[in-house]
Order: sequence, then structure tokens, then C-alpha cells
Amino acid sequence: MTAVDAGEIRSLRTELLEAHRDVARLRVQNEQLVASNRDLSQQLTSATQSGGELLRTIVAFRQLVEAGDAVGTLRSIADILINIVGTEDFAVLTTTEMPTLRAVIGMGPAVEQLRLAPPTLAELTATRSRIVPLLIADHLVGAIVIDTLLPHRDGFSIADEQVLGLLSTFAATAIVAAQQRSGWTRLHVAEVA
Amino acid sequence: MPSVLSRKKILLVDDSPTAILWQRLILEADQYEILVANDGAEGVRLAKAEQPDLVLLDVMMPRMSGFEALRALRAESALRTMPILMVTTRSEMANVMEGYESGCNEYITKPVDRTELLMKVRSYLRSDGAQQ
Repeated sequence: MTAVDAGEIRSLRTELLEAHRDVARLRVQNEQLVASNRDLSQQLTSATQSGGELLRTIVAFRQLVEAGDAVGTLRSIADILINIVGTEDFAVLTTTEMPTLRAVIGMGPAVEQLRLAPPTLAELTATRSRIVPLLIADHLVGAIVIDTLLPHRDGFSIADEQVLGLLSTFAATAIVAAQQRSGWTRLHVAEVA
Repeated sequence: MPSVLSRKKILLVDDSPTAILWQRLILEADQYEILVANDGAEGVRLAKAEQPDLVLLDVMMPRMSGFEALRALRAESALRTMPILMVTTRSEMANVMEGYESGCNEYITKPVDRTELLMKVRSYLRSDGAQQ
């Protein structure tokens, strides 16, 4: 066995302590890096989601701007409700025959029910879960009724709400434009099936 | 970024201008070249002429439905192995089996989710020669 003097032992102990400190320091740095990586990953996911949501709003806006006339706008609204928001059962109604509202476009049972039995505004608000009012300033010109989303949609997202807000303004403008141009009765809008 | 010549070509077949614009913006940002057809018949004609690398095919369309178009595409020997992804709403899911039996590779439900679309398209196009 080799004899080791006290000085050498002290030196080895010091080195060992430093090595332990290095390991502890590296552990802390590693934890910080992992946390930072997780944070960056969350930020990237969030940015990707925000980008996707913004893109959805841009698509809706572009479609509405390019729709042209009132019928085109209403068709675009239906198209957006199906392809961007993911609605399965909806109707767009106007207030042109007050006191009842008239369904002019839609998909699924809602539009048929509302066509057969045009509701008053009070009946509509009492019986339907989601109504988007179509307003020009404070003047109500119609409403979008959404009875159901597609089953795989888990409620309305913030982006959906932004798109619905956009639709309500454009739909209201389209309805008023149609009324002023040729009289609403000449505006024939088929159900989107 | 792939060169113009190496870009993979995707054919979008849908009668909805909103669906087309949505899918187009997502896929063009990922450097794919996009072709568009507004109904099944036009989709079949364009697929035969352009031989795209992948087709996104809506189910409900005028003139020729997605299923009819799918069968017509699979009847062409040159298009038999081309990846075809059907795009459908949940209410059409009863027809999913018909789609697979007619030769589709995959289903995507509307409204099309950006991440899901990119992942599925990339997975099909990567396997035969990398869209990187």
C-alpha cells in the first residue's frame, strides 16, 4: 500500500469538493436550460396557434371583401360558418318582415324550422343558445343563429368570436345594401346543403 | 427552400372558395405548389393532366362528388398510388368506409386544422422523396 501524506489527502479532498460543486452548478444550469427550452417551446406553440388563428380571420375577411353583391356576401358568410368556424346547424335571419325574422340562408334543421315558423326576436332569444346580432350602429337588421357546431369542435374559440364579429358587420351591411338596391323580396338565397 | 422545379404539387378539389383559400394559404406557406379545381370533374381532369403529388378532395361537390372523383382517379393506372386525402364534415362520416373502399388514403375533417393538415400532407409527401 502506498503511503499518502496528509497534504495530498487535503488536496484530494479539495478537488473532490470542487468537483461536487461543479456537478451541483451544472445541475442548476441544466435545470435552467430545460426550463428555458420548455418556455421557448410553449412560446413557439402559442405563436403557431396565434398565427393559425390570425390566418383564419384573414381568410374570412378576404372572402367577405371579395364577395361582391349581397347574395355573394350571404353565401360567403355561410361558407365561412361551415369551413372556418365549423358550424353544422345555423341560419342567417333578417328583420325585414318585423315583428318576425326571416331566415334567408343556412344549413341543417335550424334554417328549415325558422323558415316554417318565423320567430319574433323575443322567441328567438328565448329558444336559441347562440345568437349573433347583425347590427349597423344600434340598428338591428338580423341575426345569425348557431344551433350546433360540428361534433369535433369543442366550443367557440377566441378566433371564432373574432370571425363571428366580422361576419355580423358584413352580413348587416349586405342585408341593408340588398334592401336599398332592389327590395329584399327579389333576393333569392338558396339553402346551402 | 425547395426550388420551383423541386416543389411538390398539391391539387385542391373543393367547391367552397373559403375552404380553397384556407388550405391554399396554409400549404403555400409550406412551399407547396397549389392547383385548384372547383368540382370533382374538373379535379379528375386536372389530376390526369398535371399528375400532382397529392390531392385534397372534398366529399360534397356539384357535378361529381368526391367519391365519384376518387373512383375515377384510382381507375387511372398513373394515379393509382397518388396520395388522396378526403376532406369532410363530421356529418358525412357515415361515408368514411366508402371513401377507404374507394381508395382514399386518409380523412381530414372540416374545419381543417392547420397543424393537422400540414402534418398529414408532410407525412405523405416526405415518404417519397422529402419536401424539405
